Amino acid sequence: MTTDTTTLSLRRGLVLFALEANYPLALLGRALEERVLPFYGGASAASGQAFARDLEYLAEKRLIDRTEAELDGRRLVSWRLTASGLDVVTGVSQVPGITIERAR
Amino acid sequence: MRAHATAQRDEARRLVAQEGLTYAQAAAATGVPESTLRKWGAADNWTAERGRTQGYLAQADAVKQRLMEDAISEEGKADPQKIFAWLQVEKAFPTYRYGQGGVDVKAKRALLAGFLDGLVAYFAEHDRDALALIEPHIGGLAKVLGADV
Repeated sequence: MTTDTTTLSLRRGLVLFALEANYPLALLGRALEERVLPFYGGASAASGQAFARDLEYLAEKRLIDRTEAELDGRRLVSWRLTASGLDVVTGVSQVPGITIERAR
Repeated sequence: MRAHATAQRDEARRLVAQEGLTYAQAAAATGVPESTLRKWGAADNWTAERGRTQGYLAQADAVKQRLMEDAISEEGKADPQKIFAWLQVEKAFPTYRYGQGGVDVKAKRALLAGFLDGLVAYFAEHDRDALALIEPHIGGLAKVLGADV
């Protein structure tokens, strides 16, 4: 199932908003998934791939940061909104490929 | 006594910061004087939290609207896969939970029920295949709405 570009750019914005709630702290990957994955079509391989692609995209744009840690032998991934990402959410700056419906 | 006061403060914060009520509306709903709510709100920065929540909810709503628009072609043909995807989002983030301000949950639920009725009627007339695919999922959503009464 293809996704149109408007939905793509809106979902990327949604990821930024989900992380902004915790700014400047990070959010565990699982917690972020709970907030955003339903908008990618729920828990499926295709949804997971699309979500992972958007996380990579936002990280390459330096709007989010990824950190890894180990706890009791388990790998924990967390994501944090950067200052540049906060600028996008609050409407200070605009980035092609990301649509913010209503800047905070 | 302290537990009750904390619960009142938490509820007031939820109404103002999450549901988007005004301080006057929250005062009426909780029985706490508006001046007290404003003091609490200033101390805990409810306004900033409301801004963050409303921004997120507006974005979520925009994604849902776009998913629905994308699901129906210009000729009026529905893509069952895309409709199913929209229904999954609606189950996870029902519109009645977070409409644009106000707490009239019953009215919002009635609105959603009316929308679903219209959706089913549309598919019954234009696209029986799509209707057959989504009908089982709409039934489940209707049950969820019923459970929240």
